[in-house]
Amino acid sequence: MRTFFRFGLMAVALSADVFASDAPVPAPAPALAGENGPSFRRDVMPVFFRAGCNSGGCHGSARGKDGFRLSLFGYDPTGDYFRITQQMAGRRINLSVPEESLILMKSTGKVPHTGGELFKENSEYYQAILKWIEAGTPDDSADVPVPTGIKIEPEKWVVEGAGKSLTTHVIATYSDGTTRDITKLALFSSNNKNVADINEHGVVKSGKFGATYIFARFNKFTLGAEAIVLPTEGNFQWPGDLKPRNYIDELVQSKLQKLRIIPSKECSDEQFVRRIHLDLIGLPPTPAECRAFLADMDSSKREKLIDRLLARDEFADLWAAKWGEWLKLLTDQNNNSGNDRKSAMIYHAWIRDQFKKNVPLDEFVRTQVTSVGSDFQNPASNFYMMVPPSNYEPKAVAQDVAQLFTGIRVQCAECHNHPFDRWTQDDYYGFVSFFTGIKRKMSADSREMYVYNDNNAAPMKHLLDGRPMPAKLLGGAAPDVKGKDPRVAFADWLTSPENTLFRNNMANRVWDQFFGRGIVEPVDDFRISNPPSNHELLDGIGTKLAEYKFDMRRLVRDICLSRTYQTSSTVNASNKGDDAQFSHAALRRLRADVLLDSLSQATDTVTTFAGVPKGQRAVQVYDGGRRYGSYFLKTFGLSSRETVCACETRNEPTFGQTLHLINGSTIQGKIAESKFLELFLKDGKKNSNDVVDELYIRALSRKPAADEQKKLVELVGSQAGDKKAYDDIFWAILNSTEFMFNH
Amino acid sequence: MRSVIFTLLATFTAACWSAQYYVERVEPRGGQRGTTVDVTFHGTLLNDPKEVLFYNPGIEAIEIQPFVETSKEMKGKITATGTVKAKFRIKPDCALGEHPLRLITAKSSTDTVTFWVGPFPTVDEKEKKLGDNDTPETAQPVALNSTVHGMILSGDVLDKDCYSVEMKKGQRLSVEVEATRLGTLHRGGEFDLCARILTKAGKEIAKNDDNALLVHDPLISMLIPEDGTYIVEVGQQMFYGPTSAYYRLHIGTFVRPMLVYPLGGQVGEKLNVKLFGDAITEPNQMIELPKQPGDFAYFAGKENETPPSANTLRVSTFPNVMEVEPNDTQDKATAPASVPVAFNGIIEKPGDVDYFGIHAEKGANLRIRVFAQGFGSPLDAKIWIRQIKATGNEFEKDDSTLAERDHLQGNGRWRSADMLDPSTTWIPRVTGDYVIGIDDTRGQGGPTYAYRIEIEPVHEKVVSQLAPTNSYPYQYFFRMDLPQGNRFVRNVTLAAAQGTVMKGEYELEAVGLPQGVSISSARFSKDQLTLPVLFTIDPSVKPQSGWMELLARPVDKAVKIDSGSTQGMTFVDRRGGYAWHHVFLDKLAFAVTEQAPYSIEVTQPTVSLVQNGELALEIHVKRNGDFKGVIDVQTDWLPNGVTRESGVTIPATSDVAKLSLQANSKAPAGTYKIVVVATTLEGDRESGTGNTRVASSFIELRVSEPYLTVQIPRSSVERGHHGKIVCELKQNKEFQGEAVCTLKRLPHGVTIIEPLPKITSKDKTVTFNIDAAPEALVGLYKEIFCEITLTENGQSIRQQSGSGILRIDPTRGVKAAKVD
Repeated sequence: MRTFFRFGLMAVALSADVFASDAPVPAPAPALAGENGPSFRRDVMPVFFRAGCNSGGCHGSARGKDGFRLSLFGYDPTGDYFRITQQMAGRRINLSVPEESLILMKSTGKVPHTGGELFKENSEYYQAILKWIEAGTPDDSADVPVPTGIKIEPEKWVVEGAGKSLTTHVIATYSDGTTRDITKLALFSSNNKNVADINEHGVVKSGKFGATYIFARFNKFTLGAEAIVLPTEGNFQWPGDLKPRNYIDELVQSKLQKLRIIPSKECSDEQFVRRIHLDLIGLPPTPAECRAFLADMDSSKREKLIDRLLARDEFADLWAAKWGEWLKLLTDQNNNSGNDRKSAMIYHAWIRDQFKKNVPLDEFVRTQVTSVGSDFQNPASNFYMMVPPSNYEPKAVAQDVAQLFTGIRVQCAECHNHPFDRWTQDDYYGFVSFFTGIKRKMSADSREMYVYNDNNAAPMKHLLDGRPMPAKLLGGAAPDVKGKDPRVAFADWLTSPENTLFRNNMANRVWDQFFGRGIVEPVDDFRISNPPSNHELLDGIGTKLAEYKFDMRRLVRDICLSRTYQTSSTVNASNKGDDAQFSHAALRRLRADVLLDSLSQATDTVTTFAGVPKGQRAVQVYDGGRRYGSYFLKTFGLSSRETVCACETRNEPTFGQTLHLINGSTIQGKIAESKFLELFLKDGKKNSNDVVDELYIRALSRKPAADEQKKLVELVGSQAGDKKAYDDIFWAILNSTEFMFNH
Repeated sequence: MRSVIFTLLATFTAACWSAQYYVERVEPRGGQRGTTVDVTFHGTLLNDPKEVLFYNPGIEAIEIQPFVETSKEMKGKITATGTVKAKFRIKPDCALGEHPLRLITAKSSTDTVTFWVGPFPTVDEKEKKLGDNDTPETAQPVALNSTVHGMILSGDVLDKDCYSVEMKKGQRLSVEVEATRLGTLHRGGEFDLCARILTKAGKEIAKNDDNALLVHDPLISMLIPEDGTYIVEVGQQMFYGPTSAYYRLHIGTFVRPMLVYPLGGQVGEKLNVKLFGDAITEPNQMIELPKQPGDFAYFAGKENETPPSANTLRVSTFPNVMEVEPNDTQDKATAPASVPVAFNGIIEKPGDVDYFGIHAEKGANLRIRVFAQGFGSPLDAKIWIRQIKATGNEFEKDDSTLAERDHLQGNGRWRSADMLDPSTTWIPRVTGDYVIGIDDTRGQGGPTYAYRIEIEPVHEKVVSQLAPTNSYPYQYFFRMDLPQGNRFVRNVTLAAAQGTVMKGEYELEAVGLPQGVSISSARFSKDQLTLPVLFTIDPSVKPQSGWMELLARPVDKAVKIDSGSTQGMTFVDRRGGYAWHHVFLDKLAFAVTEQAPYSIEVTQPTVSLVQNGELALEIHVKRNGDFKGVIDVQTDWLPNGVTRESGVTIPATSDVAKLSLQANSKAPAGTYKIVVVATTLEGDRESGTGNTRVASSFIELRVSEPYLTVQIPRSSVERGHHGKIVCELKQNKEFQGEAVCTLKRLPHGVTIIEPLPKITSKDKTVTFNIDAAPEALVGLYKEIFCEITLTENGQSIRQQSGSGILRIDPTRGVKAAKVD
């Protein structure tokens, strides 16, 4: 709903922009081959679209506007025809004096119109509607050609420097095989106006250097074209020693070369050891691990460390926490849908076990999507208990399944064709039909629920005309599921290695863990109007994941071994503006649970969470601490698990977080509780340099720089043997940005 | 909305949570038959314990010691908590399993708790602090065929209790846990345990958490692969801080079938059954069924191999028909059998359907019941009946309510396994052959998915039960503490068994009460299923306890109907109302207790309670000796449309109180028998623990039409002026003397000019002179009504009538001030 509203506003802004200008009237579009007289769908509907009449902020809103409603972006031409020609006799259309039809008088501002003047009488838009009214407002016959696709010419635009322009054309193909230049009927937008902006006539103008997409929308189609603006200043020279280590580097560097961006230098061992620990196991290295790694002279020590960490159980803990968030793993004691703590704990234990055993991602997903049985006995069936938490609603489940496993958000298409993607209402309802047979019932134990599928359940009915929509794959075929559990066919398609939607989304989710952003960002918002920042890279890692038979650890290993991952976060002149091409490591605030666990580890203390055994780390708490609440985890944005959206996990710093760290009980309490300094000082042989070293290694996995060391040792003064003398130093280090961020 | 409900629920359950009980639990939680066990009752205010009343034969309580107070404070309240020690002498032939009981004190029959009888010698767990016996290395050795009394300790990590046994290769090791079934606490407590068998090295070789037979309580039966030491581990599968997690762990070589097939047979017949789930027993056994129809607790295995709990089988007066596969299509149904009949079969694989033929007579009132989950089968049965060649069903039935499963008392959120078994009634429209189909609702199946379908004529029965006056069935409502020489009242509800049509009126007959205790009540009918029943106890009746039944007897002697009593109660209640253990009893415990220190009488009102009117009951307390306690008075039952004020407290200094009753306009006119209940307020107010409760005698409450109705016209008055409101009166019945009238809900600034008008029963109108102050707010005021106070037979009666509108106008000629 929220998304929809935003789109609506955008469309209004765009249309006002287009038609308020005194742009020269373009020449009429070429006649459609073989056309016979004006057509409502072919000629009139596109005018409503272009002029913004049927946008969400205007008559396309669910309740219409000022007593007149059109279907949003024209998803329901039959309904629109009725509303214009028959809903109010003699008002909207005046067949005797077509020019006095309200629809024309309003559009041209001759009578008061909330939307103001949209076009002038001499415009082709006006003429198109007028001709149709003059012809007696004929409805279209069933065989009226409908658009089957659009294309933008040129498909890609690379230009040096700002201020250059290019005129694009949008060509629509129709169901009768004809084509038509619909540049004047399309709506345009840019993903980054600073790089390349596009106006209402399809003219693109270059701005600052970078890469973006410009989009054209027409009918139910949206299409993007890449626009790359290259820097003009400086002599770009790719460093000769910058060799790709694997396919990931090749794909990233190839794009960087095109964009004339030089990646940052490789990160130091100190940076690497901390980064890789936090990313792979959700914990910083212990002082011993850190020192051992730094002292190791083996040239392949990074690779060996990656392999050691991949084999640790904490890797599974971290991914179980991430999937627990995405799968809405929550508990409500005794609610009717049975999300008892026992179910939640069983589900969490199962997810963790999948990652511990390195069960391939396709199998992990497939087991859940096709699950049946008791949520106690068959933990995967909790999928159908947690994702739809109270009343089972097939539409909600279908939407969540799509978003979770393909990154596609189909929900817009429930009420109208997706305005910024290719999904239509037909796609939507056909897809929902895979999930109409799920039933859930309480077992003999009131906490235990049984999930099963009624193989003869009726398919979903279309919102507009109530027609049954047999199960149909997103962008795919309608498999024969009569008398069968349709989820099996769905899972076959979903998890097939050939399904780019699945493999790319899974790979993108993995990628995000190591770079702080997906190649498509957000990781679960794949749509035409939100293209990947590097198409080839996304396809590359997706293909590789499928090749690896969805062994996630292998892809993770490739990523961690790449120079791209091991790049420093310090930027250079050419990549300082880059935040999407992975030319340098991003500064990433630690996830709330990882941050808390890091604090506990650095201070050698234990955080106890209500409802779980003592000793469990924050990352290991089955429901992310939601049931009993944890102020720290909440403040630092741990997922509320209310939706499947990856955005529920919030990693942006807030003022409240800073205040909590400075004034709150967490850091202060942990330092007070911490015993390691006493032990460290026990033998009486450590001097203040040793202690400061230890604090830095514990918190930041590095030794202090000489000036840091000097200042801090001075602060300690003569109290080198007193633990209290170091508390403030430790407090300051733990409050530093360096501690809170992975870099 | 959801959050509102949740908040309400949370408030309600939080309130319930702190309720105290006379007896919280008895320890140990069980004992071996043929032995005498030292037991301790833990509870509140158990002063002067007299005897223990067991619901079933086989145990006798001896050497009951006086109450020892251990604390004055419990859960923040000042209440004496402590213990009572006694010995339970368990007869060698005592039935195994659950034994509900009550400790009777001089003052109360207290609350039902349970004690479990097993076949094996008992040993205590030796864990003193959490962690003592949590690993195979620290396991406590126990002998085979013994019962461990243990407890999962609460703490910040998960407690596991390990026991070691010496086993030989090929020997059967059976484990059965009683934990949830123990129902140790009335409320709270989570002890859903899990059992594992480990090798000495700690490798898991068997595990069970839940199962179809016992639901929460684990059981394992396995063959031992090698000679050696094996570890039986008991713990929670998942960590959630347990409360009083007592368990009885049976470890031995006993036979432990999960299911016995078929699930029943005919009375007295020798039945060839197959045992499923046990490790090495010869699966086919011949058993002899008892001559008594109903549920039969079958203990498999020979004497020294008896399991601690039974498998239940049905015994019917009618014959068995066994399924003959293939019968998975309608045309392959078994040959039509005439009713009554029992069909037995197994849904052998997912998707399997079984069909049986029956011949039914038009108009026969039949009851069709499936027995499956209730008996340990994992089948979630669904049945349907259709005429032999038809495609459409006469009916289809999946799950049942508690009442349909003959648990005629139960809160809507109670859950029992047999609620997944269909039970329904059916009256065939034509005489002919039909097929009955059965499958698993979820499309599941397997070798143990057994079922039994019984089809027989409806057995009409009306059952009485004590009715809670609160949505939560506190034990409080099931106490029958009858004070010597006083009166006691409980609400009793009649419930009709499935297929029973209640006709005419019913009177209650009490069976089992001692001489000198009598009951009385108004007549029950299907329109009046819940009524107060008054117990009058003669001063000569000695304190004693026992069992009673309240049987519903049709007033029309020609109507023949069976009757009984039932009482359902919950243990291990969890927040939200779901309980983990229920006990359904077929008799009601009572205790004649020592004299109450007071009694009450209510003055019979001489006038009616009129619809839309109010009436005050006058209550007199008679205090015995120097009793100065505070007394709370209220009613537990009132006719429809009549409510009372929330309760009146009579202080120590007073012996009289008035309790106001109100009738709404829809309260049906009539004469009703009502009782006022009084309780002292010591102990726990919420659960009634420690209170002494007595009742008044019945008084007759007449609800009648109002004396008159008032029509208030739409009127207006100017600010700063006087006005008149003339109401029309419609006199329904005469009253004595004059009645005073007033108007209620007049807007601010409008008053009636004194004196208030008076009317007689001859008047046709009443006029109110009103004054509107200059500051009265201009506007339209609705729902103004008239209140009439009259006196009849010396008693004051107040009634309300009418609904009028008053408009306050601005003063004419004065321009309203401009409002910014």
